[in-house]
Amino acid sequence: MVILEATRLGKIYGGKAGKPATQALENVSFSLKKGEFVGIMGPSGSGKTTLLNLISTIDRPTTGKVIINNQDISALKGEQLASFRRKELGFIFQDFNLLDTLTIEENIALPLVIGKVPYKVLTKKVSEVAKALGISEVLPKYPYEVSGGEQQRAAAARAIVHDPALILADEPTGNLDSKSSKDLMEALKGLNLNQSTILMVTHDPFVASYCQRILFIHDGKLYTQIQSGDNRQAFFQQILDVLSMLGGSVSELTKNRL
Amino acid sequence: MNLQKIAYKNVRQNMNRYIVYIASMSFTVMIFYLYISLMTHPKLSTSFIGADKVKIAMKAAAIVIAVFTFIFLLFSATAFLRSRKKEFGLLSLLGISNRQLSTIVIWENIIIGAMALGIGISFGILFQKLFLMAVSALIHLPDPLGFYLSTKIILTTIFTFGTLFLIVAIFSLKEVLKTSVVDLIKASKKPKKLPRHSKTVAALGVLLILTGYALAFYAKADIIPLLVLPVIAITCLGTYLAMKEATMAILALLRKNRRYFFRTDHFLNVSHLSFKMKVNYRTMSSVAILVAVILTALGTIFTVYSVLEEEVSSNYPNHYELAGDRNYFDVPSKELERIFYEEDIKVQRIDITGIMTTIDISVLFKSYNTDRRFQVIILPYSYYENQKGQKRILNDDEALILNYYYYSPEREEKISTDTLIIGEQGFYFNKIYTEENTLVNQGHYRVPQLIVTDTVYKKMQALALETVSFRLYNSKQWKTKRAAIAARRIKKEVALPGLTKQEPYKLVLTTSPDLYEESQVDLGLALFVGFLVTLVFFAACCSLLYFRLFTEIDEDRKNYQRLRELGLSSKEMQKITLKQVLIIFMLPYLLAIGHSFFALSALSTIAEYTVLKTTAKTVVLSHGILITLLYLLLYTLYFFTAFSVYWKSLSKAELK
Repeated sequence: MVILEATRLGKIYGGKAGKPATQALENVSFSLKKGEFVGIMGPSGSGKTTLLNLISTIDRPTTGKVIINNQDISALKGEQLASFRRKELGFIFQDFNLLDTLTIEENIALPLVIGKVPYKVLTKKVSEVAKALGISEVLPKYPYEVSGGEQQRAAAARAIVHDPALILADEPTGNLDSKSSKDLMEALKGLNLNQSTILMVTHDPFVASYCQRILFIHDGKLYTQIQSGDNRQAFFQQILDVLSMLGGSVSELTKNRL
Repeated sequence: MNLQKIAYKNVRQNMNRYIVYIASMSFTVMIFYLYISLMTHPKLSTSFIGADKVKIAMKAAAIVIAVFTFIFLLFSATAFLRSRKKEFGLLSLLGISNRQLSTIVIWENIIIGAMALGIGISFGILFQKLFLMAVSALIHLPDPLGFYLSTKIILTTIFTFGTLFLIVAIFSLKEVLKTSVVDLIKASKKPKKLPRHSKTVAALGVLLILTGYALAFYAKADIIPLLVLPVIAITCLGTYLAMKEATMAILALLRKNRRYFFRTDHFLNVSHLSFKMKVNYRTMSSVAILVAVILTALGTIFTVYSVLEEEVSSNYPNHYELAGDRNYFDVPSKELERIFYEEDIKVQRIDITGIMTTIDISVLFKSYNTDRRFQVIILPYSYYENQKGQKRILNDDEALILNYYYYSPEREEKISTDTLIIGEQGFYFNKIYTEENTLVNQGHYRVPQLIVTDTVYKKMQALALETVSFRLYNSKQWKTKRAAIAARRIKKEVALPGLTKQEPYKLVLTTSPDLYEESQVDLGLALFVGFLVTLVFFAACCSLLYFRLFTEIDEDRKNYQRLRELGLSSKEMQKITLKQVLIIFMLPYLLAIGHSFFALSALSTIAEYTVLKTTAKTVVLSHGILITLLYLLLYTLYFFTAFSVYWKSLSKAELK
């Protein structure tokens, strides 16, 4: 079953009032099946974030269309868009984006609260995902009281608590140390085994090696894609090879990018 | 690009933040301008008596406005710069010197100050005519104060506010310069901790407020003056504690009730408000107290102004009155009537005569144990009915004492009935009624009047006691300008017999139209000045809350975006935000209404006792309510303006 279908996506910035137009994305097509864990990689300025923004309904494509869970999202407007976002999408951001005013538990519950889920179902769901992500103990604490890794796992919990069709992660390990990154990726992999569909943008080849498939973007175009075998170490090497072919600078291969 | 240009760009880019700041500054400038133009109006000093006295009061009020404006501007400027710490931190990081930073801040202030002055003065000139007409109407000036432009007023305004703005700029600069770069950059990143609260302190705060209210409401008139300061102190303290702790306690309780809490709007409202209250409670309690002061002060002046007529008529029921020995009436009477004729005032002449004697009031009030005899004027019932125009059943063994406070300011004491010795003869009264009013004007004959039935009066007349007569001229036109002129002419032109050192009181002349007019002018101006001053205070109060709102706008915007990304629609967001801002704005106002209600209640207790004898609590409170509603209307208008600016700024980074 296809969850996400992107067809001939293109995005042009500017071009109005005599300003030069920038082609950020050109003719990108791909699709995600249910339960897939796919990564997007590419050098800075290649159009990764633009692509993610188009899929996450935060931005609209100039050409092409995106279909998520059989809905053409370019046709959605205002109220529908908000409702679509809260039902079908889960977000994980680089800087966690937890609300300071809420405890971890309340942060996780947020999508359910927004979706007006009954209280009983809500508490059950929250404790389930917290357990799955190993953050049951920190539930009553506030974001500033827990570690970055726990914050990001809380963010992940928030992204999946309402069973969205698609989870979008933008550099989820960008602000984490290597131990926390590994924990998070193990957690995401666990979710994935539970049939969650995940699309993740990352710079980090190690992090990317947890994916089943990786799309490489270069200068706004889909450059290539590689499929993971059984061996993660081999896949990691494969990723490095493609990246060096893309001519990404060494600094972009470092683990943590601020 | 030089520093001035950076300053200019800063102002332009931050315009929607600055707009309310500039608006409230312009408003203050406008009020100040109008005020000065009234104070220095060339016609004002010649238009009415007592103008000089009023001018001093107005000057004092002008200083109050200036001082308050200064404090308010300082607060807002500091709050404003604080909200831009990150920007200044970045500039410092890029190596800007303190000197250059100061230049930018000062330039920004100059730009804003110039705008505020320009707008304020322009609006001042625009509304000047209307304003002067309103003043003239309120104080019943015969010919309204005209519009006039004077460079002196404009220069005074520019000079006063220019200086204020500059001092404020320098003071607020210190706020920026004293903070280190790290702090400036991290300013908004510091994690916010959930505020702690104590239920005991919360309860104490509420209890203090309630105690203050109870004291104000139940206290007897004579101890209120002693209680004023302590009650104000505990109410202020209570307000502060309740704002700080009680709101937290309530929010924490709501949060604990999970079934209530885990519903979309409750969820976000309760959790956000907990943090909002933490940073806003100080401002909110100050606003509550300030608004309470405004409402109380204005309510009081307004009451006094509107019961003025009643007040004058209760003390001076007769518009022109000659009192004393009837044999001397004829000559001055003719003069009076000539003046009435010349001033075209239609009057009705009535002559009454009463017995002037003394009674032993220890008979009436058991708490008096002296045997001193007090003066009394005895009048027959028929006069009472004629003058008052109302009937009252009075039997022969019954009497009525008017103006009886003169004997007993305590007035709680019941009058006991007994035999009164009048002349040499005893008169037994089974029942003695009391009334607060008087049939003759206050003045030399300011003594209680004993009203008895005509039959009893005849018996007393037979005792051949000393008598006193009154010749009353009453006119339906007594509130007019002409009546007042006539009153003043009479006092000046009519020679009274016996007004010598040896025999000072053969005849006494009292008039009320001039008194009425003068009090009306005084109180009218007081009301107007009070209104202006409180308006400035009020604008400041509103702006304080507004600035608080904007200090955290960056963070709020981030939260807004996060929630939008999670799929909360813009409409829902607006509803939730409106609720939060509404609570922050309205909570202080509601508290202020409570405070001023009980303050006015206490004031009316005193007023009943001293000044406004006939004024019941309801009168004072109804005027208080009127003022409260008027200001609530202004407040609500301001609230919606502030909210829409806030909302626009919040949702500016709307998702596409």
